[in-house]
Amino acid sequence: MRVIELTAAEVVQRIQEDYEGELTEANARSEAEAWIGVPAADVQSIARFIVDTWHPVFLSTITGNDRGEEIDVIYHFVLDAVGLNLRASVSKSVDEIDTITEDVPAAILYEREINDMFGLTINGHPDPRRLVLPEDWPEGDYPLRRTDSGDEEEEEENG
Amino acid sequence: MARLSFPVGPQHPALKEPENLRFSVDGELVVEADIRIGYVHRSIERTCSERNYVQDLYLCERVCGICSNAHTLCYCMAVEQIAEVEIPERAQYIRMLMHEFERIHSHLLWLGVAGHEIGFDTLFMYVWRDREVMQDILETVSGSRGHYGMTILGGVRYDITPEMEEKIREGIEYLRERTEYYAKIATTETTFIKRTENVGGITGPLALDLGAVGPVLRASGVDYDVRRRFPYLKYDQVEFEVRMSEMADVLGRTLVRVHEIIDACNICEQVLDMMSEGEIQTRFPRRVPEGEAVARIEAQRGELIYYVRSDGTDVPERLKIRTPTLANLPAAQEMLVGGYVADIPITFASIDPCFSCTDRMVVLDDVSTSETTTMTWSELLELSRDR
Amino acid sequence: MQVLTPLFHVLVFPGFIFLVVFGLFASWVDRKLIAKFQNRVGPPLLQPFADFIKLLSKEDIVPEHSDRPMFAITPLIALAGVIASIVYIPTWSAHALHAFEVDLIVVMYLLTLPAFALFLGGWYSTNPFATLGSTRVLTQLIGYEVPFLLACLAPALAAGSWSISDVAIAQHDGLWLITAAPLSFIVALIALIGKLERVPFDIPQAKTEIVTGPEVEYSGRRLAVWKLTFLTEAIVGGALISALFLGGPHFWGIPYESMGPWLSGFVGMIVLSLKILAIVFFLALAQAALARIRIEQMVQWCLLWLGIPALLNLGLVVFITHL
Repeated sequence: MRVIELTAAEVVQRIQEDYEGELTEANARSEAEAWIGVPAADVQSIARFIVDTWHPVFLSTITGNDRGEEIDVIYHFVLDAVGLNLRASVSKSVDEIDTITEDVPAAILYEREINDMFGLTINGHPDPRRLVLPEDWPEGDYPLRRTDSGDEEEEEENG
Repeated sequence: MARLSFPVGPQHPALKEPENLRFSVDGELVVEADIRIGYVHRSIERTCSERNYVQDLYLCERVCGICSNAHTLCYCMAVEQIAEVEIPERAQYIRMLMHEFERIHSHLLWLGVAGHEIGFDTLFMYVWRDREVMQDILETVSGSRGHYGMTILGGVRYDITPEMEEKIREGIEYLRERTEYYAKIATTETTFIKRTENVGGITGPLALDLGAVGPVLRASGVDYDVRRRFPYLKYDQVEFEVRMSEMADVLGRTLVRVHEIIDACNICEQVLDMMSEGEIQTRFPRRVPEGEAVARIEAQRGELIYYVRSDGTDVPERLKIRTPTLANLPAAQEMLVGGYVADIPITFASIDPCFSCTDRMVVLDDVSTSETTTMTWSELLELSRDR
Repeated sequence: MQVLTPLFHVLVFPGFIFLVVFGLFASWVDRKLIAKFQNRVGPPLLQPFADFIKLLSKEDIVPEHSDRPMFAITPLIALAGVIASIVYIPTWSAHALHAFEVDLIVVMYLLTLPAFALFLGGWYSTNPFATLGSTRVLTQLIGYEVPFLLACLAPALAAGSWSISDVAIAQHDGLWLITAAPLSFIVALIALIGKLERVPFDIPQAKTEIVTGPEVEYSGRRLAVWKLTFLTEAIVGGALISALFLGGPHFWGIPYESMGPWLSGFVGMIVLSLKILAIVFFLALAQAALARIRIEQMVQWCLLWLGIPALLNLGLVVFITHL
């Protein structure tokens, strides 16, 4: 039933061998789960590499996670029967990331959600409106973004 | 004729939940469609990172009323993966049973709603009456018709007794027979076919590119079923077919779902045959070690994915939920454009939308001062107690 | 007395009160039947009456941007059209209250009034759903009105008269005109579903799509009048089809001649009512068994599968009568 039989180890190996950019992490946690990390500036090139290599590629979702100094953006791809999780850490001093919608149209809503929730600017997004927040939501208030001090209480008041 | 712009929702009889679709129509043809979500946003992800793992279980169950068990299952799978807890075999089988029961009741519910959307209320009445059989089974097993609370961290809450097993087998047998009858109706009833064939079409590659999931994707001929691709629980030990259709329209989605009900009945019987006696729970630690996990399951509406990151305390650092409906929205937009106004409800219903899942914040407009105020959880609680 | 009798006819029987009461009763039969077909219990006998009274007592809202006079008057025109047409249709004997040579055409005209009134009412209420529904009313009108007219012409030509009463009298020898025009009868029945905007032709109202279409802005009394219009139109339409195809009040073995005027009138009314209820049964069956189709499918299907059989049957009748 599967078109190609892939394992997570092979995916990781292929990326390590053929992808020219820098990798911040690369490991296969199980047969079906691979984790790759790239610098935030490289998301477009790695997304293109993934799509070109394992077409068709399915994007499950994009997770954002505020780690204090930086925001993790994790793209959850599915290639054949391997879940490929691609992590890009965006420093809060940069606070923006390139869109991958050109290569992966499915990212369109998920990138809007990231923008809503974390206040990351998505460069080149075709439809940068709000997704889940109402139109009258105050500018600059992002529900899932921790404040610089990491003070939870203050955040609570903001929503 | 001039273009007419008209809204469907947030309040509209075709939508069971508040969501706004804006259409620009030329006569009876839809020229533009825009979907605005967020009306029932409840900040569940944020709230989850403020509560401990056990409390989050209940919170996740309440993401959605129809696929409540799918959410707890996916949540437990992710958390158990981080904690490296292996649940007993019998618990896995019972989880599978609940998972398939929920698929049966949800697909039956959908079939009835689909009938209603195209003005075929008789189908709706018949299907929903049959669905009661499944609701009764769920109630017998879990004690509840809605939020079952069956899946807990480390196993399941209740065991299945021989009496329950008998009732389940009876009910499954009846439902299979009825579903085969509905499959016949869907393929022979002229007006039903007229309203569903070549309606809301989307090609397989496009659906895949737009990230569609579940029956929507499979009805366009893409073989993606999480139960087969990433077997969880004991799905690698049961026989079932990944139902697909090349029709890529509403009729195809109907057939995929109807056949999945029959498959689910078969899976339930296989599981009942395979089940061995044993424990149904293991101890689950209060604190979860540091780590992260991604869990995917095939909920009835499609792939459901949870991402959980733990920082070693009893509260998750981050919990991310992506529900199937959100994934299907870009595809739905694509289906609606170029179709007829009359087909809007059935086309939109064909992705089995659930906005309660999709949205998760509370904003109240203070009418007297016309200022927007954001409320904290405790303020909301106070307000609801006052009223 | 000379003044009171016509007044009685218009207001009580066979006019307003009779039509309202019988219409509400028929709608109970209809709802109960559909409920049975759908495996439900259905409403109690007085439910339609209760619904109607409740609607009358509800707040009556006129939308701000609507054309108030048009919005207010269209439901009344529709109801008046339907009620006026009953005086030309036989109700208790084969003779209608008033009959003249071309009253069939007048009745056909009066029965299209609700559709036009609904279009205008919807259009002037300026709601997007109503606008969309109104255009559908007119589009659908083309679909059913032409076949309906063609179907009703067949018995008229067979009986050699354009008067409904004459057509009914012509059937008193026991040969109902359904035998001469069976296709026309079926066409007329199906076209009646379109006229009444019921499933599968409830396209202009389509609750799950355009929220009852032209009626969406109506509430309270005016909505009650709209509901009443379609209830009574079902009765009048049923009576018209019974008179043209099923012999009106005639039934074999009932000796109307030997009965007094009151008794024969009463029995005739009962017979006709049963025939109308049979038609209501058919309408309920169609509603329970079918799904709503799309507007363009409806027009295409009606002109092809209703228009052509109606024309064929009409040609056949012309051919036989001139033989």
